[in-house]
Amino acid sequence: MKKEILIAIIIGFILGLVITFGIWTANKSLQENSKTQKTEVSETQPVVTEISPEEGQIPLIISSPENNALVNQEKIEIIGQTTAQATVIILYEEGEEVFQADEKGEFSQEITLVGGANEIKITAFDAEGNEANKNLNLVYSSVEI
Amino acid sequence: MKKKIVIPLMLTVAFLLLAIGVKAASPSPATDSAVQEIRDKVKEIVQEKIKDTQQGQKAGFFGEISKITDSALTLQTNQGDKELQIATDAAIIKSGKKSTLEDLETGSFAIAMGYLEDTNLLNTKRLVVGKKTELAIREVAFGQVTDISSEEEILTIKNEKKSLIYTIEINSKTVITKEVDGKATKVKFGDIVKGDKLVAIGAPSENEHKIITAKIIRIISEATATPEATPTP
Repeated sequence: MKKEILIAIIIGFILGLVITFGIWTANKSLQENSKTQKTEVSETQPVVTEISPEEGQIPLIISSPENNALVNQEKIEIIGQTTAQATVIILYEEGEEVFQADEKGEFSQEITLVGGANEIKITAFDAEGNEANKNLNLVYSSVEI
Repeated sequence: MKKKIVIPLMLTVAFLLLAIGVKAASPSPATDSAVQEIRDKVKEIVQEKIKDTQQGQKAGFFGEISKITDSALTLQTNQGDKELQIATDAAIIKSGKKSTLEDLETGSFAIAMGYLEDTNLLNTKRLVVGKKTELAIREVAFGQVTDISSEEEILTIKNEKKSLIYTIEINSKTVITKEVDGKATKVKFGDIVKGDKLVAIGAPSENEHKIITAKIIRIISEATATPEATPTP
């Protein structure tokens, strides 16, 4: 009787193992197939950059003006959003501005442009030293096109 | 005899249940690819919408001319190459004078104004070629004050995140501020203490450390005062 029970346990165990192994193998091969399909798709479609802050970085969005905008006013408002209370620095052709974003992380700062090409660098730091950078290229011209 | 059948059967069922559990716990590849497909579609639609919104908008590119053809130019900008389609009625100005495409040379700095055809393609209506205004290089440094030389008016700050040490030189023109009641308030060099976190903006140079001759210093957060030890009786 004892011998029969032992044989039954062994048979049951082996069967269970075989089934588990079968399902695991099937799952693995399906996942590999799906990965290959995804790679093929990403090769044919344009890559979209995810806007997610990396380690040591904070978010920084400039909502106005748009990059490469052609503006006809000397003074322009830089509007954006970052981490709450972050220190924002704007380096522009004629000077620098340092200020703090509000409790929602929103900020707005007027700067003066020079005629023609303007390279504007915007940096934000939180209290821990995590930072974000954005570059804006603006062209200021009063000539109508 | 019954027991002989029941025991292996029970064990088999138990392992079958285990196997089903393993399968359920692992993510289904079919669901994964469906989610990815939806994501890709959304990205595609967003890109299309952005493109539609941008198209026809007034825009300007500037950079160095890297290629000239009959009616097109390539500008090498700090944001990559930009293509300029020169309109037949485009005004081309070189060194303040009216000019033509034939007079342009690669390597010249140009500012193009026109209407966006695509993110990197501009239907150019006005092209101004001339010298680029070279501006003083400035750097922004963040760090915590680790050392202060009051005599020389030099600060040493450390940026832990970048593992960088900056030497900040202060002169009579340096403006030092901190936020008080939501307003930037001027403070003196002597008000800076070890442990303060600050941002310095100025002209960079380098020896074994980065050196910044500060134009602006903004104290972001002040050093937390360490509580004095209570004297024991």
